[in-house]
Amino acid sequence: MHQQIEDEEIIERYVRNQLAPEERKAFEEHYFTCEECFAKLEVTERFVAGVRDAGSRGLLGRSASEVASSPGWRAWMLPMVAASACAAVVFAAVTGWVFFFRMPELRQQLNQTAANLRAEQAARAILEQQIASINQAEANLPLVMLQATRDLQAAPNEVTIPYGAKHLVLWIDVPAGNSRSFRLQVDAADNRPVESLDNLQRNTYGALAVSLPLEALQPGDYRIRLFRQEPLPVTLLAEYRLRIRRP
Amino acid sequence: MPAAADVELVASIQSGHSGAETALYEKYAAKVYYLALRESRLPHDAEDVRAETFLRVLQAIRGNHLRSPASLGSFILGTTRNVLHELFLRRRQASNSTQPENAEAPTPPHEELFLDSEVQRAIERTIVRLKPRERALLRLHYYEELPTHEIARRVGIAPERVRLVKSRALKHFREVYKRLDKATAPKNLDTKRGSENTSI
Repeated sequence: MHQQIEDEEIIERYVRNQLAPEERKAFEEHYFTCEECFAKLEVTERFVAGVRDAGSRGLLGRSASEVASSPGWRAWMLPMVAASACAAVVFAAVTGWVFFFRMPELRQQLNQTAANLRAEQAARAILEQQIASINQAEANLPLVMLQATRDLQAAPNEVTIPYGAKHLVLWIDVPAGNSRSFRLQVDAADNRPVESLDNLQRNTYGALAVSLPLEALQPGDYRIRLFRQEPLPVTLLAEYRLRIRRP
Repeated sequence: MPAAADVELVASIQSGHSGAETALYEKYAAKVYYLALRESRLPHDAEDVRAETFLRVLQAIRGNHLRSPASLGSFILGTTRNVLHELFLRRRQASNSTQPENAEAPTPPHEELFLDSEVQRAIERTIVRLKPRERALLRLHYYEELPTHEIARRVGIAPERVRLVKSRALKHFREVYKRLDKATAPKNLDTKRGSENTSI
């Protein structure tokens, strides 16, 4: 009997009026002769009464219906949920924009900048190399003394550039006159301008000495023209033909 | 054995032992009062039922009208039910003959009859030791009276756990209440069992 009472929660169901009439009568018969069950019944009766009282006093937390119908809850919970949803949508949109649009742009800009940087570094390296070469002493400097000619059939001035030479020195005997400064114009055989030097002055030998970088002077034929710059007007004084060779 | 004790008790009453009737009353008064209070829902009616029940039981024992002394408990229960039945008949007759404006106020739910300050204190001390989820479980079960599977779903535990939580809470309540009851027993005996102030 006691096992059945325990298993079927007879005492609590009796207290809560949940037993069928026959069950109720049977249990009453039992507890009238069972001190143990009657003691449990009294305690359970008080426990249930106390819990119900505590529930009505709000000591067991808010009821489900109160929570569900609470305007306060709705007042802050719904805006919170809506705000969270909006924030999530905005975040997703921003993240998508950054990921699909902004990131490729930035990556492209970064690649472009890196390419520019590499180009600048390369140019700087070349310049540094040139500066270094300028600052270094150079032996066996090739030199050619230009002889003027207007005869296209005449042999040109020739010079053979030794290996490792970086400059070519032109020595030009300037015709006597009142010219104070000169311009030297170097053109390739196809009339492409190669070099132009202004404000050249006679040296103590009465000649013009000009150093040209050989980088711009590949093997081939060149036309060199000498102009008087001052006094004006600019006037062609002489024309030279130069053939550069490599060993 | 309760039956053997009851047989001996009946024999003692019938032989005129002075303390036997008191022993009978002490053994069954609380049960009669509990059932009477539970059914009648009014303490003064319960006291009347208890007094009338023991009067009839003792008369039956003294007059040797008790068929089976071993079934004394069942005989007292049956007598209590008869007295309660008569009470309800009188109430119905009274309510039929009384104008509506003079009718008695509705009786409170029976669980309120077993609530007093000690029960409240014991419950509060029990609740303090419970987790929020366990408090919610008690509220859903005893206050909102939801079915077990719904409680388990809402609280987020297995249905078997519902019973376990209830049992633990009840056990703790019993311990706390017993301590409080011992400390305040002299002034509360009458409200709980109604057995000390009543004469047959």
